[in-house]
Amino acid sequence: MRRFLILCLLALSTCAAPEMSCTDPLGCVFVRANQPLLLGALLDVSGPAAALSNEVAQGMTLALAQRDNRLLEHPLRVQLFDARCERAAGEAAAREIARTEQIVAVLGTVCGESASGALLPLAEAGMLLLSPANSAPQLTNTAVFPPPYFRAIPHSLRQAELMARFATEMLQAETAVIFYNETPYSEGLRQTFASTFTQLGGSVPFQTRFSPGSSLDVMLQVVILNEPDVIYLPLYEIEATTLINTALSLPRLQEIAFLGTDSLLLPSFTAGLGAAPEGGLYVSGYAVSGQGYSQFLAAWQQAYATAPETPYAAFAYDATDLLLNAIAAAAQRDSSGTLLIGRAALRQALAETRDWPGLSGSLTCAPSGECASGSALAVFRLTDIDQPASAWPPLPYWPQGVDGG
Amino acid sequence: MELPQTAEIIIIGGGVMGASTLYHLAARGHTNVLLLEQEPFFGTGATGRCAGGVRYQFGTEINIRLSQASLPMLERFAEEIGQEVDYRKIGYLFVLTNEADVATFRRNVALQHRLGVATVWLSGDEVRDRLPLMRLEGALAGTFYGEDGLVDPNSVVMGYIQAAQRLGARAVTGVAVTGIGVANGRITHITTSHGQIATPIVINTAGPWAAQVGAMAGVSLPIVPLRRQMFTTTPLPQIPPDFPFVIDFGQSLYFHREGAGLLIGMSNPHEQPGFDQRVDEAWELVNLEAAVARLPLLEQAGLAARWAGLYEVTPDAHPILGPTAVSGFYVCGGFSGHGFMHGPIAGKLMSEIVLDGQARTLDVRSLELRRFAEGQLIHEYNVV
Ligand SMILES: Cc1cc2nc3c(=O)[nH]c(=O)nc-3n(C[C@H](O)[C@H](O)[C@H](O)COP(=O)(O)OP(=O)(O)OC[C@H]3O[C@@H](n4cnc5c(N)ncnc54)[C@H](O)[C@@H]3O)c2cc1C
Repeated sequence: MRRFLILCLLALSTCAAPEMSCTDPLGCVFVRANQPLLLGALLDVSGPAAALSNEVAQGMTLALAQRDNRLLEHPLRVQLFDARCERAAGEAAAREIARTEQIVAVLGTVCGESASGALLPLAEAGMLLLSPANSAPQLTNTAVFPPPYFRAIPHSLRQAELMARFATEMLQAETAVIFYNETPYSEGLRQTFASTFTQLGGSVPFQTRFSPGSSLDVMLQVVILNEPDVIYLPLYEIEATTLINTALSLPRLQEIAFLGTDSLLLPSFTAGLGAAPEGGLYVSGYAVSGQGYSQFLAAWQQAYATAPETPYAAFAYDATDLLLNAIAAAAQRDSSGTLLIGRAALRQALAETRDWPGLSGSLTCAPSGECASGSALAVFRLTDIDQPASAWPPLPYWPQGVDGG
Repeated sequence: MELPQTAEIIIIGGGVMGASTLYHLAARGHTNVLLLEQEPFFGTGATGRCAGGVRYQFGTEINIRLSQASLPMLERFAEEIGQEVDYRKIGYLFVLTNEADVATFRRNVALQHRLGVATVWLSGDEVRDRLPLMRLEGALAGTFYGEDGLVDPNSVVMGYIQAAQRLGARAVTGVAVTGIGVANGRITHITTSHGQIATPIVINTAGPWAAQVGAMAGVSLPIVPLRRQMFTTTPLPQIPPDFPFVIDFGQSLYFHREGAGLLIGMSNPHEQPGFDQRVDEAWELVNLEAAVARLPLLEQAGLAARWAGLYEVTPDAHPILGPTAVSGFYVCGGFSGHGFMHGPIAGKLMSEIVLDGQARTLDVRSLELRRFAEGQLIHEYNVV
């Protein structure tokens, strides 16, 4: 008997009595009458994304509250796991989640690193991961990471497309140069900006890795020779600050427009610049607005007596709402109130989401797992470099009327 | 996150105690109250890990009276607070296997009857008749009360938090209190992971962490964290829907229906105080073996989920409610394994103690902290 129990312990529910009619290829979760419907929250509670994880958790909490913390007459319960913004910790937490068969699906992560560790163990358990915050493009590359993975946030390359459109349509730019760094983030943005800008009729005669020090002067001389209208900078704060400050010391670059990415959408970035570029400083990033978002802000204000600090709060709300909607669609319910939720059926229900009116825009899930339309992205104009932190974030500048619906 | 610089009252801890206290203060019109929870979600401490059991069967008058005040609040919860909490009256059945327990429970039942709790006394055979699936040859007697049952803990916490927020009170997650300022014997402020907040009143509802929070104010609280764990099984179709919350008292072993399976737990009498919340696998095996010995059909079940949490235990297994030697510093904790069910009334009583100077709904002076210094401990026998 003891041996039997130990086996059961190791294999967890493999010793279960055969269930009624679960025909789902990925297995099923049964939620009996009165039993809570359990969701996993795989957040990066400790580590560099702790504050963001908390904001994401608050967004999730509001989405649950909106449904009175219930779904299909079952109480909703969230079990929290810490992925610590690390690949190994994400994997370990996901293995722990996978052992809890009652978890219907998992919301998270915040950091791309932890998601990359979590995806395989979750996929092996047939559990889907829906992220409100992972922007790393490769996470939906099924050749690298196993599905089912979804996200309710536009991946970071969408901002490069948007910026290329902004440069051509709004700034009438014809020539761009690019400074990038060796990170996959920067590399991806560089490629996407360059190809979109070229497709739109522009040219990119010079692209180079940013290297601080003396070679920067040489590079900037090359930039001057190419007479660009804009310089695209998928860089981090310190690099971009150095580059812009050096460029502005050269008379022929003072009227050029600098285009940055969301890594620069920080109050400390403008504060570190010696002067505002005359040709304009524009940064792409996430932005949510619209009537639904205004109502959300009011609910947030009522709950937490403050405003959310980032748009991730809205993405978290949308991800949770999207998931609950998919669970409601996939669940079968018998007369006793028991729910049967097939894991493949849930994945399919989520993948079939069309035109879901999220706070961050209309959400339609592509087979790849990308659910965000990209309408929650905008270009911000950073004009006042002495802007107080209380005036942060700035209002979106382009496209006009960024709308979440 | 931007926190206010001042608050009329600060509550530390967002489990059932903090949530209920916040709501009851807000319901009295005090909305400049701030609840701070260090985790990203409310109710992930002891409350989120508890079995959800609610009962009237206790062995001291104060605990029975707390239940008589608290459980009806849970029954009216949806109506009053606007949140369903899934109260299921399945009854608690205590199984007694030794003469000493039988004698004590006879006294307990007499006390319960005197206070209006109609607990049924069962002979050993009646226990076996009611639980035919269990092997209870050694059962000498038992007690059963049908109004005892189960309630969903998370719904209670979120119901209170959200109702308080609607009234204008504030509850935030992700903020750890790291210090409490005291000057001239009075509370002046708290320090948090997000800055300092001036306040004259702090209520410590930090559950198993209450002693740590007490120490921040220089108040020594005899509240000790003790790990307790349980697991749930895969479906057991043989278990009838009306299977009660069964407690094999001699072994501190309990079973209740959870979904189509069972939730099973057992207290380790040798557990040492500490904050470890990982499942103790060696003890889990002991628990499994004891459970299978009582309920052989468990051999057909698998393990569905398992977790551990912390009891917040005081020397007399009764809570500490009320003021401390530091003016403006209050404690609501140490419920010793049955705090979830007393959370609703505890929060109401705390609001009265803080706002009116003393509890009005129920006389709980016997639960004040000073009882330990004065040697006035309360003796309870029904602790599982
Ligand atoms: C396994 C188990 C089973 C149980 N079963 C039952 C049962 O069936 N019935 C029953 O009535 N009771 C049961 N209990 C007991 C019950 O769970 C507790 O008595 C009750 O939940 C205590 O509530 P609380 O609000 O005081 O503590 P908690 O729910 O632990 O809340 C305290 C909160 O304070 C927070 N905190 C701590 N320090 C700080 C800080 N410095 N800053 C900010 N926040 C802080 C913590 O994160 C935590 O969320 C059980 C307990 C366990 C562990």
